[in-house]
Amino acid sequence: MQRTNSAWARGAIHLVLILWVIYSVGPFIWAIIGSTQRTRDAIAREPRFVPQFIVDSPFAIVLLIALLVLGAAFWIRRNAKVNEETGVVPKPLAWRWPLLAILVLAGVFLLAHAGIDDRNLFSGSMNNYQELWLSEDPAGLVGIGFGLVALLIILIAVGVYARNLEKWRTQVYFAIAAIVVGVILWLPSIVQFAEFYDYFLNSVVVTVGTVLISISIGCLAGYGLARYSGIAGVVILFAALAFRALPRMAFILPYYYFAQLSGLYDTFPLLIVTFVAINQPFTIWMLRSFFMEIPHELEEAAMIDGCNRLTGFVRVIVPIVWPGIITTALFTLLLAYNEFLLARLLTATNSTLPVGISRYTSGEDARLIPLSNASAVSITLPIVFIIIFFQRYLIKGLAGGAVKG
Amino acid sequence: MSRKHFSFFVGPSVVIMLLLMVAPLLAAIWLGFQLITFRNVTSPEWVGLENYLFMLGDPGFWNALRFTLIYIVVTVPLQMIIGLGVALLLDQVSTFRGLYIAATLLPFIVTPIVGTLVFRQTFDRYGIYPFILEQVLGLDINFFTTDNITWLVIFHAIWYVTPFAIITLFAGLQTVPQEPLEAAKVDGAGWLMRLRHVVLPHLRSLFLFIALISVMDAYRVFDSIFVLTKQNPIYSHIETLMYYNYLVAVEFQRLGRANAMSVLTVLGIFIILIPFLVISYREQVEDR
Repeated sequence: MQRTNSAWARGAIHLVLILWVIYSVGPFIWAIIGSTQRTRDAIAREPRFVPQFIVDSPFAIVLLIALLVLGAAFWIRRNAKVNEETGVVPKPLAWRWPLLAILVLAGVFLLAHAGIDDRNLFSGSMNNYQELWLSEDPAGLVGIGFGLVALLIILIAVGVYARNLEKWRTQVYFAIAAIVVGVILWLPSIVQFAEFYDYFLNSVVVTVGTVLISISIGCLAGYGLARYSGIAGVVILFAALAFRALPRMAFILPYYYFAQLSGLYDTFPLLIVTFVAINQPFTIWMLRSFFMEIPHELEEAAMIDGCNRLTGFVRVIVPIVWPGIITTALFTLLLAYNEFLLARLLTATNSTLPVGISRYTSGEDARLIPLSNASAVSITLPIVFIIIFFQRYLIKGLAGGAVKG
Repeated sequence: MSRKHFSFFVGPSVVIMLLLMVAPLLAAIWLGFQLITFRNVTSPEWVGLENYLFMLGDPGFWNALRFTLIYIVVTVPLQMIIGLGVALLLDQVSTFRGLYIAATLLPFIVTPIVGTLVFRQTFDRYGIYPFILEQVLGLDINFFTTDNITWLVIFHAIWYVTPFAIITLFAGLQTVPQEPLEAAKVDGAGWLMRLRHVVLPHLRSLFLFIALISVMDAYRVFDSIFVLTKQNPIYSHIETLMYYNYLVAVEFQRLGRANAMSVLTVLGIFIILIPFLVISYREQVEDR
């Protein structure tokens, strides 16, 4: 549709959109504010709108404003357009200066707190997170914390630079992911974590396992369905669509029954396999649509050059469909990370994060509100981080009219 | 691709689906004929049609079915109307568009149980919305009464399911052909006429797709009801089929009855989906 030229109309449109954004994001902002508060502030008659860490630590304001300015600078530079009159093309963003600025800021911040006799970085406002994640006194963990912050900054820097690499980009991303998972698995051996970290670990293991298995199987099936013209392919596709429509309970209760009988109840393999199965209809439909876009001639050429079906698929087709595979993997990841009902019924002790937070959902005890907010923010942050990096894949998947998970 | 290659490629996926979707479905029908509780999982007792008949006579089941149907009938059209509205607005702007889309996506990607929890807490006693309503409008509204909670369910549905419609329709709007729009404008068609006669027909199949997906998802909504009711029986009038099924299995500990009920809900979704199948079939026929 044609855009309106009236300034008033444009202003009104932006106003409505901003209201919509507030409606969408408001609850999360409220959770972030609430997660830093002490219980008596969280349940006060007059809510406090200023996050507690800003009240506690004036330096946090400086850091926050600096980060906001940096973010805005990034965003404006990234969206800069070619000047039509002069034809000046804006230079691509020079990452090293903002990164250097973040490093310096972080250094100053850490120094400022190292000099003060203050064990907690935000003097009390992080208490809820502490209580949620740690079961030991954080005083001895400052060194480890600094190490983790440094590692995080290095990994982000490497990841950002890898965007410009032609050849090794995917390998670098995989290496970063492997390092992150490795550190997450290794940390409990030096730090005493609370129960919540176990849930987090379980979620990581189950999610990674589900994505790897589901995508491997799904790629094979999606390719087969995209290339085979027989009636069996159509039958499988429509059966999968029917499975997509079914209420989960019809699968989960028999899973529960047979898990109890076979002794697989409360184990990772069961959780991963059932996640893969529940995901399979969606995965094969989506991957099939990506494989359909690839012309037949490509693998025919590869087969003339001496590949068989499988090697042609692995060496020629998969690299081309790679963005589509990432998109599907992203949706699979979201589904595995977010699934509650299945994990609730098939696990007792080895639960994932959604089951971990479900203890706060009865909501009758107001003293648990800050803690529940802290766990909500803790669960949401990893997902938001991943989505920030892969947003265009997510939108591509949705925009393709692909079947949602 | 030959048949041999096809079965090699599709094999693992089909085996997984046979073992973990077809077999459990058949098992659910069979388990529906048994008396099972959490105590005698290993030694079920054959009771014939008793579980199915009990569920059909259970007022809780009919109540859940009624509310699930209301939920579908209210939220699916609402989602499409608001989704189209926001998508049209997004189409009009270019500044901040990325930010708007990112913010819209947030409720969609977040773990449903977590998203519903933070959403509920903004409306709860110590939340921000009751406070604003009281300070600005002087209204003292408690959202957690048996009447008002129905509104909360609808507000939550708008918040949680509309992003999918918005992003899909926004992408669809980018593909609307420009020539008919220009021609309609030359012919003197206003904005509304162009929307109705050019844009909406173009988005028709997309609407059908969104309706199909969101009816499926609304029919089996569980996580958000689990959180919004606070698992409190006083809100039993907003129990959906999946939630009541969960209650029968976990709270009442009747696995046999729960299995019978899940079989009945499976039949229900197929009855609901018949109109969609008929429409899709007709379109296929018309296309030929």
